[in-house]
Amino acid sequence: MTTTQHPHTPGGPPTAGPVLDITGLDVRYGRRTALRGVSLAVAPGETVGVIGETGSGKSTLARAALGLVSPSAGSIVVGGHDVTGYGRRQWRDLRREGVVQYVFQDPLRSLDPDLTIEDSLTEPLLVQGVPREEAAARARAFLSRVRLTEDLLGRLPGELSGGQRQRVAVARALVTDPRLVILDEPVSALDSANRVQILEILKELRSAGVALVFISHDLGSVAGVADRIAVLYRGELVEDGAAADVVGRPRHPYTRLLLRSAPTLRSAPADRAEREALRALLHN
Amino acid sequence: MTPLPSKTARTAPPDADSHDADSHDPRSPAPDDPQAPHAPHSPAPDGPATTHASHAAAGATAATRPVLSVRDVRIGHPAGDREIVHGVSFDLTPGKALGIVGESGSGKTLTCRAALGILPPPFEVTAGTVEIDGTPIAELTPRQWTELRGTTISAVFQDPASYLNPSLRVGAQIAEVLRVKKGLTRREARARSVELLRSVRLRDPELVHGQYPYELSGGMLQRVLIAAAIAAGPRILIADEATTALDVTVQAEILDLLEDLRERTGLALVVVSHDLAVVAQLCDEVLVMRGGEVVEQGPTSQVLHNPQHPYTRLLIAEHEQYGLDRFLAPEEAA
Repeated sequence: MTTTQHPHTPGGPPTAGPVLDITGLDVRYGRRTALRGVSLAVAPGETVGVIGETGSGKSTLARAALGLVSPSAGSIVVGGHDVTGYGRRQWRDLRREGVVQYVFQDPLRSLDPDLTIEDSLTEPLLVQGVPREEAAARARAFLSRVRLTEDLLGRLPGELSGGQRQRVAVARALVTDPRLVILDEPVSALDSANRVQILEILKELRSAGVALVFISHDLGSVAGVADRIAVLYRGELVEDGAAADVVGRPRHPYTRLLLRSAPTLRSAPADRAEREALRALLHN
Repeated sequence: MTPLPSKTARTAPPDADSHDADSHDPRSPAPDDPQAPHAPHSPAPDGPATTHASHAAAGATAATRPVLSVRDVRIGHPAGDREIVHGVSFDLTPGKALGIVGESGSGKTLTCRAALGILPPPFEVTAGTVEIDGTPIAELTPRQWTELRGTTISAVFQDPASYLNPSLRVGAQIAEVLRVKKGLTRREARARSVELLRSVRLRDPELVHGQYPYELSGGMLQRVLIAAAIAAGPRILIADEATTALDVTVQAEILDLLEDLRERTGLALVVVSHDLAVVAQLCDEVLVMRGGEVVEQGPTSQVLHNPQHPYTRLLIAEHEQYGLDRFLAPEEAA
């Protein structure tokens, strides 16, 4: 629990606490409750998968952590800063600091179509006042970390494949050395070869000490990467535990349904009956 | 060559069916609808091939004869004489499910479209044959095609919303299929379309019947599309990436529904997916396609447990490495 109000001090030392600490979060859109009493803490260097399907509130959670929706109750602490009541300007300063970065499902959303890959990668650094040469060098370094070659630097996002674009978006999120990267469905729009490549890169990041919040509808993608898995269902966090436990010993019926619904190469006719039973349980 | 079904043979069943619909037990799901007995000489019986005893009496040959037979089908692009699909062959018998796996550009969708007679121009079948219920499709006139679609072969695709008219209530769109294909009256068609919506396990079929497409979720829309696709009692349903855009729990519901329809009505399925696991879950036989080539083909268990082609092994490895399979105990993987 980090409820201490941190005065926003750009460049100030990060606290040792969680890099993301969400407590009792409620978000309402009019009369509809999108999130109810959600608490989630992410430790430095930890990879947390947040699983949710359509209508689960996972996008709202991402939007809340981005400062795009205001909580009705609860608190959000990002990188030691209590951002619960942040205004637009405070959010802008926090984003500029580069402590927390974001990767979206559609990289075209995070990449300016008129900027070359090099400009896209250096921009966040130049904003921070990093000299151009140093920024360019860092851009190159991160491009190779996401397994792209330097000949792409002069290209525009539109000239890259979807998989390449997403890797550029990941590289862009990393150049400022963030402590936390929130990825919202980062592999959902990709084919399996590109998906595998991004997941490999995310695994490497984990060992590099960056905390990741990997939001996805796909338990299969997340299970291979995350240390911890949290499951959102109808606006509530119904499960939160070590990845192996959540997958191996799920407690909530919805988590069990998710697991039994995920296509696997193991064909078990018994799963169908179990799914039926779980659906009946959840819809009552 | 098998004679083409005559127009009269095609138009006869709707009358029989409209009477049938009146006497039809409203509680029983639509695909169970017992059809008028087949004319013994009819080369292409209408309606779903059921596994009911009455049909079993028709002899084992009817059940084992392929409803869809694809022989070395090649698909080309006239520009530069490019061949895109290099020979696909399979047989599909009633109540069986065949899976086609491959990434985009592998030729799996073109193969299905060829079987449905809806290859987008300028693609064309350059060699090989497709027989639907014994009838070579190359000989079909556009009118015969129209009669065949829905009543014998039907399909659902990835994006259900784009196959529905946004300004019409979904029930009316299913009812239209029934009126055109089965000759039902307005009132019969309405009752029957509600039954169909119930049979695809929509929780409140009466409500959904009166709703517009925009009021429904993706999973509900896909159910509506499946209801429309099975409305005229086809014997073959092609599901081309039909669950790709859906949440995994919804996907499983749709796949369970297809499995259920197959068991109850003897519907033969062609399931097309980029995901080997989706296909493995449902199908007896799997074709793995890559670059227009069938690189592996065989019974599902054989393809999964003894894959021959490196690409198939790669698909399996990806699942084992990044899917949930890696958390499953090895003894479960039998």
